[in-house]
Amino acid sequence: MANHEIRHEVGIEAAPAALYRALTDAKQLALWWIPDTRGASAPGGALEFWFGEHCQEMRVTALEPDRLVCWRATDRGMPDWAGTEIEFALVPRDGRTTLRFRHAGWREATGAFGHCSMSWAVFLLSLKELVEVGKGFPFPNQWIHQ
Amino acid sequence: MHDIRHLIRIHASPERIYRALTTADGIHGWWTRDADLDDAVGGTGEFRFYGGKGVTTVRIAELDPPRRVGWTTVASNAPGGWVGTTITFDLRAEGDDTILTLAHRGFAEPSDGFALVNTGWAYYLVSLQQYLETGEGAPQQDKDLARVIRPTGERSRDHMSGGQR
Repeated sequence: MANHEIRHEVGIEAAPAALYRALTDAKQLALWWIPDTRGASAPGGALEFWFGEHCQEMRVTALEPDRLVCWRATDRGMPDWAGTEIEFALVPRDGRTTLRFRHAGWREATGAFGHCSMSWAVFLLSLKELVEVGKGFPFPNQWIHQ
Repeated sequence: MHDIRHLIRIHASPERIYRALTTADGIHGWWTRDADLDDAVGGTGEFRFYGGKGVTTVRIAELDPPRRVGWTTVASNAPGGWVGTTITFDLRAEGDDTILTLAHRGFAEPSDGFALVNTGWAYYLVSLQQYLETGEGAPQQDKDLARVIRPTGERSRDHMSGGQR
C-alpha cells in the first residue's frame, strides 16, 4: 500500500515544554494553526479544528509531556486526511528544541499533498514565531491561502 | 525512494516564473544570491550557500518554456543526500495566477535531512512568490524565516526597527 508522508524539521529557540503547551492547549493551537480550535487534548480525546463551516477532527493518539504529540485524522474532515497520522516530536538540543514533524499515511502524493506540505511548513514557522516572539500567524495565511 | 512535493499559487504569469527559474538573475532573487546557471539543456547550474560552504550542482535535463524546468543533481553536500535526485518545476496558468508544483524526487531515506530540505523548499517557494508579487524575495544571505509568514501590512514596522532579529 502506498504510504506517502510529509516531513518537516524546524529548529526553535524555546524549551520543549513551551512547544508542548503550544501543541496541547486548544487556546494556543488557535494562535498558530486554526483560530477556531475546540476540544481538549487528552489521550483518546478529540480536538476539532474549524475552517468556516468545515471541521477537521483529530483523535489524540499519543501524548508524552515535552516529547511527543500524535493525532489521527478521523473521518470527520477532509477525505484525503481520513486515517492519516500526524506526529510532532520534540528533541531538546542545548536549551533549544528541534521539532520533527510527520504527516504519514497519505494514499497518494498528488492533489492536496503538495499544498498541505507547503501549508504545514508555513504553520510550523508560525508556531516557531509564537513560542519565540509571542505572536503566531494562524490560518488563513496571506501567502498560501489567498 | 522518497519524494518531496509542494504546490503554491503565485500571482504572476508562467513566463515570469519561468524566467525566475531559468536565469541566474532570477535565482538570485529568491533562492541564493551566489549562483550560476546555464540557459540550455545539458548545461549546469551551481548554487552556493553559507558563504560557499554549501554547494549543489545540477545538470539541466529539461526546459519546456514556460511550462516545465527539470534538473538532475550531479553533486551536492546539502542535507538529505541530493546526488542523483531530480528536481522539476511545473507551471500551469489558472486565470491571472500560476500554479507551481515542485517535485524533488529520489531521496534514499526519509531522514532528518530530508525533512529539513522539505521545510527549506517551502520557505524558498514562498520567497519566490514574494519576489514575483512584491519585487522582493528573501534568498540565502537575507534568509528570514519569519518573513515568509508575515502579512504585507505587518512589514513596515520591521523595516523601521531594522528588519531581522
